[in-house]
Amino acid sequence: MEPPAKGTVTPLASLFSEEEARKAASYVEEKIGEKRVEMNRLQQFVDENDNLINLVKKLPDQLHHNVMVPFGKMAFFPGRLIHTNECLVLLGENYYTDRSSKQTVDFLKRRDKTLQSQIHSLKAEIEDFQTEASFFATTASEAAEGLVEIREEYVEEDSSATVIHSNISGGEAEEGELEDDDFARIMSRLNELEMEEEQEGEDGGDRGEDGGDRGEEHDSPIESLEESQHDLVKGIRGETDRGRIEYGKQETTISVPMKASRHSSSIREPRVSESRVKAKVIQVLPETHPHKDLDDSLNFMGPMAQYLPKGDQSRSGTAQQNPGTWRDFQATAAISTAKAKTNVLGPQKIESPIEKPEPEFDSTKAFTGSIVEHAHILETSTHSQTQSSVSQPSKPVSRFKAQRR
Amino acid sequence: MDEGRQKDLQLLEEIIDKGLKQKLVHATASRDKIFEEQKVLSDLRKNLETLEKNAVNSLKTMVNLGSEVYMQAEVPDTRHIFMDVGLGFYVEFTRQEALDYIAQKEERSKKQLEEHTGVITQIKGRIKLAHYQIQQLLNLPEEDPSSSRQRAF
Repeated sequence: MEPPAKGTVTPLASLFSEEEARKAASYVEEKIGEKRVEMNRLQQFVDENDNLINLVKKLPDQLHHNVMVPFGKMAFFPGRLIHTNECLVLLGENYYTDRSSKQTVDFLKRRDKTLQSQIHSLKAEIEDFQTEASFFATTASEAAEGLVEIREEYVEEDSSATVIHSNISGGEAEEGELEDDDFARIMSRLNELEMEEEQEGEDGGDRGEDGGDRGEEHDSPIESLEESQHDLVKGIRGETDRGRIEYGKQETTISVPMKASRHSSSIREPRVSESRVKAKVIQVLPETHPHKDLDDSLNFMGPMAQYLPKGDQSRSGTAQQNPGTWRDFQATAAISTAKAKTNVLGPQKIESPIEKPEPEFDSTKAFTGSIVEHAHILETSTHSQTQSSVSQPSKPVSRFKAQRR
Repeated sequence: MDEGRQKDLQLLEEIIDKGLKQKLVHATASRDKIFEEQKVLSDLRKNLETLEKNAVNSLKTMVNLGSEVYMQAEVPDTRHIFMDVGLGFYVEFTRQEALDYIAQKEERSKKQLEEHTGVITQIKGRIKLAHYQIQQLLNLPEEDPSSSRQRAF
């Protein structure tokens, strides 16, 4: 059994007093009565109109009709109807007009339409009143029975998804529960992965302070990702200087872009695995090539691509990584996102144009110029990658090899 | 005790008031009907007299077919006229007979009018009396029961 959830219990009688509900119901019923009377009247008019139409249609059949011509209310004269095709019609406001019988029939039909529309609207009004009255009546009876309204907060059982889910379900009742469940599942999964990452990242330890500063300078998390990428490179260069704080910052920067591509949580795993493995590879490369070119960044990607399968296997063994690995992970994350062709590709594209006009020159860092190029390469690589598939990654590999030789 | 009795009396008077007022309304309505009848008769009489004076035999008029749609009608011979004598009967009269009949009917309606007026006046008087009694009770709430009884005669 779950712990008793917070909730409110309100007797219906307090919300709607029974007497008032009954009064309201009776008042509404009165209105209904009035409207019904009105409707009957209109219906009478309609019937009268129909009769008149029939009469006027038949009258022209004869030249004269023998009728009793009324003389006031109490007397009649025997007489004849003459000029049977001509009618004097009241248009309203004491205006009369002579019309033939056919025209009169048309006139009467138009009048009939007006009446029908009036009846229609009255009917709608009556229906509205009826629903109101029934609602009041049921409320009154419920209040009399002592019906009680109970509201409870919806508490999710799964602890990992509690925070997220409670926010979502706080206001809702039970509607859209299915959707919430799916969403909760995804969210809990992501949360688990995040936590794992954080744990592994913490085991790593040191980070370059510069990288952290970089991360802070830019507003978008995507930018910070690239920054962290550069920081990763720098970190590999000068590992000794890095402090733990920066690591944390970079960690956050990673996690944000990761979250940006929520919809495919599976991507993170390969990324993580890739990073672990490739970190070692990367560590070697930057040392050999101090100058950061576009090619270098591509070189990173090349070996990483090769080591993809290995990454999955070695994931379990790489529970404890050094900072280099972690930084590499960041780099690979950025690159692998490009490879995996997720939405992060898009942000990366955005990154690059932003990065270009802001070449940051820090005296403490060695690769400021190369950073810019790095972005450029990434942009081009991502562009090409989005368009075509496997052919592009091979390019950086070849270039790297060419450089090596 | 006194107050209770006063309340009862008040209630009674109110009930009387309601009943009396209802009667008054009914009586007034019936009297109005008679007034209308009188008017109609007088109009008819005037018309017939006009016809007589001008020796008009034929007549052209407009007949209401319903919902204010009129058609021309001709009365070739106005010597005979059918009159409503009540209970759904119409009697054929000549013009002169009709005039006589109308005169008789007018007298009868006058009598009816007087009767109704009498009834109405009576009801009005009773209502006035009840009002007066209520007033007395309200003005002197601490009077002796004997005196209040005297008033409620």
